[in-house]
Amino acid sequence: MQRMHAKPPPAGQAALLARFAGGDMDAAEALTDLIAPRLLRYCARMLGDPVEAEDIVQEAMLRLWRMAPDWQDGQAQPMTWVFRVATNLCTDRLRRRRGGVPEIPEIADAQPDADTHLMQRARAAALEDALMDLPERQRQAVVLRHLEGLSNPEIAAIMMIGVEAVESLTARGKRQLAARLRGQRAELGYEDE
Amino acid sequence: MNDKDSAELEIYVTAARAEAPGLRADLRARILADAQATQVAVQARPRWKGWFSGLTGHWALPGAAGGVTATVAGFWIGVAAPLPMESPLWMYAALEYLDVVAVPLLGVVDPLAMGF
Repeated sequence: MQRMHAKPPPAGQAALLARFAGGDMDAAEALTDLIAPRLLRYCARMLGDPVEAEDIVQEAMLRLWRMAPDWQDGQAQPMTWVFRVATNLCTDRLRRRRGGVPEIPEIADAQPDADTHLMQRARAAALEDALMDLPERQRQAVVLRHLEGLSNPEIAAIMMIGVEAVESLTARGKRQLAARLRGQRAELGYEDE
Repeated sequence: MNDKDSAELEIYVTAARAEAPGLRADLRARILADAQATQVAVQARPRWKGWFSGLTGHWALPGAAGGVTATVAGFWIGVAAPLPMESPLWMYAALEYLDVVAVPLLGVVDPLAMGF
């Protein structure tokens, strides 16, 4: 669990980008491994579609590579910048499909010998389902805060709003999620915990 | 939201974190291929272009080119156009200076032949 929240100090990300701009492909690999997995999870939850999420991750990372030679030290951190780009790309996709029914990520067939794993998958699917019912901005804030573990100031920078607005969005989002999931306790084995 | 709701939500969140998709190898490879291609493109840029851009940003080059053109044109008009009879003496002195000092220093009489 800690692995998901681990990241180098801010200066480290900018330093890696500078090394990439100077021709160091190892730095590109390090940045990719640092940013892309979290970005993919975020985009998949925003869109409810892992394939579309992959397209957006690739596009957002490409924009980062192109930006590298002109990166100004002291501006937003590379990861914050990429998340902001991806957020805008996700918003564009969601607008384009407005009126359509959002797709829920497919859950792979469960292994018959792992009841607990089955239950975990069902709970994960229920949460993803409930997330897709949240208003877009609440979903962004909740995913970034509670699933990706970003700080409120980081989320504020990504969403280009104030920290108080982030707190408000996450609080309202959590309340709605809790209300939505409350009815599924017995079905998802919560009462056995 | 009460404590029970919070605890319940945390269970769902924990499950979702554990089930989250990882970065597939082919996507990682595509991202790094883009990085490589971008790097090649950046390094293929002419060095002088990068130098100008580095100095003042991407708008510097057209500005500099315009400045050079205007300077050369002004210089040529000043040299070629005959002075009216009523021109002050200092203008004749300036032309004399060009003939005696500047033109030999530049090595050409016609500034348009300098290759700008």
